[in-house]
Amino acid sequence: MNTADKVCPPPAGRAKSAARLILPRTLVVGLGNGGCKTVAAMARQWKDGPRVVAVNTDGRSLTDAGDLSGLQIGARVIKGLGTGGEPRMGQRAAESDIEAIRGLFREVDVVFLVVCLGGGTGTGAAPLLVEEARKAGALALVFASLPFEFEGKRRMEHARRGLMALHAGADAVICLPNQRLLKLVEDKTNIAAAFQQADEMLARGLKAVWCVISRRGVINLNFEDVSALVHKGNGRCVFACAEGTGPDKVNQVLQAVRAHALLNQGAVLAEAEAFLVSVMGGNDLSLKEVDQLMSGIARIGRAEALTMTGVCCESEWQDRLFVVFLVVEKKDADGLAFVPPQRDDEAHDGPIGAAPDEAAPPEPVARSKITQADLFGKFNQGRFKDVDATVVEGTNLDEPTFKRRGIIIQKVLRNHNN
Amino acid sequence: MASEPIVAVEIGTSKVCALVGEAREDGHIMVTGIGHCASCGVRKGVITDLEKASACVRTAIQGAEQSGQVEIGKVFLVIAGEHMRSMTSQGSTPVMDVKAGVTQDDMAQVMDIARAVNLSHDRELVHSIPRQYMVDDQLVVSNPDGMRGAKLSLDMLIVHGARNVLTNAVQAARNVGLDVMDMAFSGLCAAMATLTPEQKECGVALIDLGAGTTSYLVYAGGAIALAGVLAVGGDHITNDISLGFSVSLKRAEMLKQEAGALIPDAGTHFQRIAIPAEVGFPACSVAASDLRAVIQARMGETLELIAALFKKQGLTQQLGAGLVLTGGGVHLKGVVPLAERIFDLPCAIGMPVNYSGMASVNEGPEYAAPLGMLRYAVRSGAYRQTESIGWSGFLSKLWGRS
Repeated sequence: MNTADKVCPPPAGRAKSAARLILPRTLVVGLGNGGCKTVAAMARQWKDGPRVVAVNTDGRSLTDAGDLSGLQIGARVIKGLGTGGEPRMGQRAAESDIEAIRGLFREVDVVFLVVCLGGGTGTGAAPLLVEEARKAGALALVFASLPFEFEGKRRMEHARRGLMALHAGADAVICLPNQRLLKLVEDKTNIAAAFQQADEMLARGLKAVWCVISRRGVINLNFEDVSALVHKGNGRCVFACAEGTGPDKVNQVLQAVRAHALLNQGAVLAEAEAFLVSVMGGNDLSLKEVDQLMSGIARIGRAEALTMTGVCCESEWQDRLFVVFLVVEKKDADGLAFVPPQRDDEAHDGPIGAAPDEAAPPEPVARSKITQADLFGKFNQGRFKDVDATVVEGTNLDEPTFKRRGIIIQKVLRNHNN
Repeated sequence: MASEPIVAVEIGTSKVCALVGEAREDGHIMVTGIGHCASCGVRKGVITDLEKASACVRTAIQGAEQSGQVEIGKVFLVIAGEHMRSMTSQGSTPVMDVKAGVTQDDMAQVMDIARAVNLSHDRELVHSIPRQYMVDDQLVVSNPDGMRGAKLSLDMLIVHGARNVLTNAVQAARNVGLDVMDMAFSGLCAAMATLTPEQKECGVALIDLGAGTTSYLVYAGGAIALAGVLAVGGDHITNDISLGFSVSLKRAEMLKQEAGALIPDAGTHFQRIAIPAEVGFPACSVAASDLRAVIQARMGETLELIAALFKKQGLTQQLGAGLVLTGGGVHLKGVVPLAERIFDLPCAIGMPVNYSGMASVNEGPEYAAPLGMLRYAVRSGAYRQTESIGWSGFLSKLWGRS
């Protein structure tokens, strides 16, 4: 098949500079029950992927994770059991084993943290892990799923706060609201399968972004592209995957995009400020098919939207087409993807992990480390770093207003013509 | 014959400025000298580096000495910063001689009572301004002298500030051999420079858009009803631009001054604003619409916060003369329509009233505060006996002067 040869020239031919070809040392960390399951699913379907570590408080779930390397945290604090859905306990667990966590991030360039928010370990420990990763000099990219609505208000509330803390700390947060999956699954799908599907969704998104970063594509995208994109949306991103097989695969993908629940039947894409399209195909993927696909996507998206495209060919996708969308969502697309921190609420004045609900902590817990002040301190304060913050009604006014209000702006553009 | 020269110094966040003025007839003030210096060691209106601030004061004073052909030894300080707060205080006293009516003694007595507020140990009283007198609990607007009644009450506005911040400001001036005669709150000074008696009578709000802080002062019902400071100013806009577009603070400041605007402009909406290359920085450009969005978000928020405060205090309905803006922030294009929209009040840029002399000074709304300080100094000089008791007490406590 000679088209394959045309489409897939030797990678060295496209290399901009030899030095930049070095792959970033990537580490995937699954945190909490959900995160561990997701990375386990990912490791199963993806043998030659990056190094994967499962981190959890619950020792049993780590043994279930199979041959993954695991790290149990908080063994001394909570005796190897779970956290009982209490983020404070998760946070304590991470604090008690902070040295081991630091050890994880040694000599790592990019950390993918996979976490299902709403529980104890994931929600409580994630901000600390992100902080440690960044202290170690790594870029922290978080894949977070938000709970289904039926999981209850308490979990949703925990998840929201966790997400807020992650937005403050991580380089980028990509978010999958599980609720949107409801539209995706069949009516008869049992609950275990639905959760598994959610995990697999995250795993796919992760793999997609990893593929983009590891630059094995014919048309390359690198981490800077992804991080520029995610930053453009202030870290507010959703992702979606679409698949097609056979000779009609391009149309199948386009069809799937228009009906995609995660993309709100294509509406998210149509209103997006920017999006990234990563195309994975087999060695049989032709240039014409890519062109057809991209022009189809361009018709769905806004004309002004910033679009980035990557194509990568792998033999395992022979005769199939797998397209991943990373979309910077319009500010209030449907409110599900991102819930802005509600600072007017009294309850939010407490530490992140402090639940306002009736469940009293099992024992006196040390005041959690991440306080509101820390959260506010996370942004770059610029010239106000050495003076008292101007805080009015719980809002730190030193933080740029446009950031707090989620106004998306474009960074400077270099003038290439001079 | 003109009075002896009066010197007002404002240690601001963006500039330190010294003005020399002379009092003429009818409250007219002639500006005879000016010196200024780009500010160092001041953030949000508060001195963070005493040494640098002192050096700036010295430069400004030297400039003023040269241009005013005077030697400066005594200055009046303009005080800004979020530490300045206002509160109302009431006092009443029985009228000593009911048959003779209210006397000056009674008025002094009630003023002392109303002024004796319990401030915490780290606060210092800066102004105590009589708002309205009441005789036998019936309202008398301004002067109860000679009125008959058994009880005299006074409603006072107390403006107070953090002691250490005030001390630092005084120290910055003393470090370069200057005696501080008095201090006044920047919002009050700006109001004295720009508001007319008619405006004060109708009710007016003054907003001083400074570099480090935004001060506000409200006249309602013929008296000052509210005064305060929000520690958000033009610096925040610069900082937002710098962080938003990843450009240096210097370039951000340049973008703000040269291309900053608050209202959409069809002509420039889709343009990109070029930033010329400098050593180490390649040329680049930002979208005009994005720049405007960043500036508008900040300025809009600042004004909205103040508007919400006015609303909460029930003052918005009492501002017959609307809103007056002063300070360097008024140079942003479109600030007047933005303020009009947010406050739903007519809005104007406040120009210093009844000043003459150096043209560049009395036309610039950014000099409203030091200009007002000159007027304050002239007026308080006349009323020194009643006005400066608490204040000289403070200074003598600090510096052992009589």
